[in-house]
Amino acid sequence: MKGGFRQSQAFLHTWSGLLLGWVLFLVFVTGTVAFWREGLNRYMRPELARVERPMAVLAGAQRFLGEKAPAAKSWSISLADARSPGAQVFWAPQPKKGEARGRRRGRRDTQALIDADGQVAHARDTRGGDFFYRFHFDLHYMPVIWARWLVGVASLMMLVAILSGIVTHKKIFRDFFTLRRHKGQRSWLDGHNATAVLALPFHLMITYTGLVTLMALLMPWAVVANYSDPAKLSDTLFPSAPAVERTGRPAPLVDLTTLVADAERRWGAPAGYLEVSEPGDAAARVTVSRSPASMLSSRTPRFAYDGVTGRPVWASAPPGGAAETAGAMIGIHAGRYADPLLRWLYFLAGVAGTLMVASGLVLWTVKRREKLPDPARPHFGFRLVERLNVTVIAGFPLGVACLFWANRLLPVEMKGRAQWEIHVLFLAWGAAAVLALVRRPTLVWPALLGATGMLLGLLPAYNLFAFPAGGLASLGVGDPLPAGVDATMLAFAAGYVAVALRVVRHRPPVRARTRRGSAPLRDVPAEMAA
Amino acid sequence: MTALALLLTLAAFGCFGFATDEHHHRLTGRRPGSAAKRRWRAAAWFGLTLAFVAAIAGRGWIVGPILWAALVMLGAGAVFLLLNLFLRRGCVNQRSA
Amino acid sequence: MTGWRRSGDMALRVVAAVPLGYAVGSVWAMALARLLPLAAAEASVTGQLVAFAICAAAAMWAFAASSGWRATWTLLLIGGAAAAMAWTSMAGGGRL
Repeated sequence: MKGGFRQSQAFLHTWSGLLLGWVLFLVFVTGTVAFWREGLNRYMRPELARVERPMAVLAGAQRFLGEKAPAAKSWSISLADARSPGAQVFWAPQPKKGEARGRRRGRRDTQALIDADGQVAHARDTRGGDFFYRFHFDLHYMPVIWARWLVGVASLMMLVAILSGIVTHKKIFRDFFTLRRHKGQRSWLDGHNATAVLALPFHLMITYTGLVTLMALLMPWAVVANYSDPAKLSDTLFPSAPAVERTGRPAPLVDLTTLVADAERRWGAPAGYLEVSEPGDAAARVTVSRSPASMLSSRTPRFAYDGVTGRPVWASAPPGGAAETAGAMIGIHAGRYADPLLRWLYFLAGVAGTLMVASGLVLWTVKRREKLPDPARPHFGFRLVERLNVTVIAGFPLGVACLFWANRLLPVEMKGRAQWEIHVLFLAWGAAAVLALVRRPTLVWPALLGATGMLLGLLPAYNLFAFPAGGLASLGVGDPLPAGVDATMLAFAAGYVAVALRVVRHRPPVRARTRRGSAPLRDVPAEMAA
Repeated sequence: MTALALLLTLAAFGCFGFATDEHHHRLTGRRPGSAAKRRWRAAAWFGLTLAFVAAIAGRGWIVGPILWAALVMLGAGAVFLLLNLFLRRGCVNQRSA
Repeated sequence: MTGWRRSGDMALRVVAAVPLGYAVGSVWAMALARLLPLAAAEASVTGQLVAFAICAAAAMWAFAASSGWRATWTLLLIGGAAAAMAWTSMAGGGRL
């Protein structure tokens, strides 16, 4: 059974990895970038200064909301810190007669960004780093439920691929440091093994915890078994103070900064989020949540205060063991608790994971190319995988590079600018896909990789001229973010260009055709014939 | 403490790498005996244990283990690159060995 | 050991791995939610957390088993046991 067992798991590993491998590549790329979500939120709004006084921003937010939406049903304020561009505020208007709730939150006209000076931010409209974060599980241009099911199924297949990969990898310890170079398929295998095994704890963790973040959608049955009304579970897992009824008697809202100061004193940790119900009314209620950056679990404790007197009226109960575990798993996946060093390690591990997926996909074609009976006419499956590989692995990063350029170049006053930055990503990716369809992969790989490298490499230079206050100047005032992003882009640019050159110079050994009656190929690389 | 933990994981994986036939041979020209391998590997495990203690001492019981795991992966990756890409340059007759 | 490459056997294994594997994970999640001696919220969350490991294990078993048929009936048995426990418990009432 033993030989058969390894073999069966090798087969399972190949197919569970391949079938949705391209989806997994997109998830890994955007998830890895999303570890710098807040940093990119700042980087992609270069007009904004760094937040130095979070309480001033909060006071400004309260002033703004008091003028803009004094009689709203609720206000939401995410507190700013040095890493974020400002305080994101939402408000929900009172529901009209006959409507159960107000208009949906998140619409463009009921949100604003308050900058470091407590004023409404005058920065280019962009989704910033939040785009990568949301794409990572919501993808784009599709209903989010479909996207989350697709990403969820792909993640379960990823889990199977990792586990079957471990089982099938003979000599996992003996070959730990092995890297055979210039050996075709074996080199790709060693590269795939290295990126997989060296960061294996991360890959296992990120995959399993990723599934946990989607478990409400993917695995509701355990909830259905105990609850006829799933909302009751939400009340337990996400407790909130009892809802307030609007009295109609106006009363001034207490200064929110005092409530935040009180909550932070009680926790000994920063607050992250505020929600105000019925502001300006005598029944106003303010709920303060602890910052997820200050603890491992994503489900942070909350305090509720009377909105007029500022008296504390409610505190969330500590969660049970399973709820805390789930919160910790989601927290360890998102990495919001991580300090800069640990965040860099998350990022590097994510890069390793991305390379693992990419090398696995390429390995599939490299292995089978050597076995093709006629290299000039591979079967449909091979051609499909080969073209998908270059389209996704080389095309999507090109799209991302174009997104960063669109963020710089699209006119600041343009309507729908934020959505158009993303359209540019997909237009560039679409063009890459067309190129991949009509031209040989040997040509398209270095073209796309090289173009990506050049675009990423030129952006910091552009920034130097267009935003002299950023980059090195920011370093001078103790703000390493713009320079850090620019330097990282340069590093990736160098990497892309190096790989592009390597592909161009690659000359695999000639293999004579095995079909009779055809003239043997002379000095033509096997890739050209494909 | 974090820096110490990282140095310890680098040293540990250096020991693991040195205990492999391939890299030991390339660096010293000799193959390691099984007793030598055992010693080097024991030293490596000891290093990883000390690194764990350093990580907990530096960052506590929640973030400490996570940081340790991350530094272990970083140490492994760094030694892998060192052994395969940087220490190779100085060796002759290494093409397609 | 080449028997498992036959396409009918392969199809059976795929069905065992994917819809059946997911079902086995789901019913075990339900059984855990009902039977663990914890508060309802805690038991449900525990079931959810563990379910993905069960799904993955079922998929691996679907391919490791000596035949597609063996994979299928063993998973049906394992799933059936959990389903029986969960349904009996649910029939006794006690859903919030």
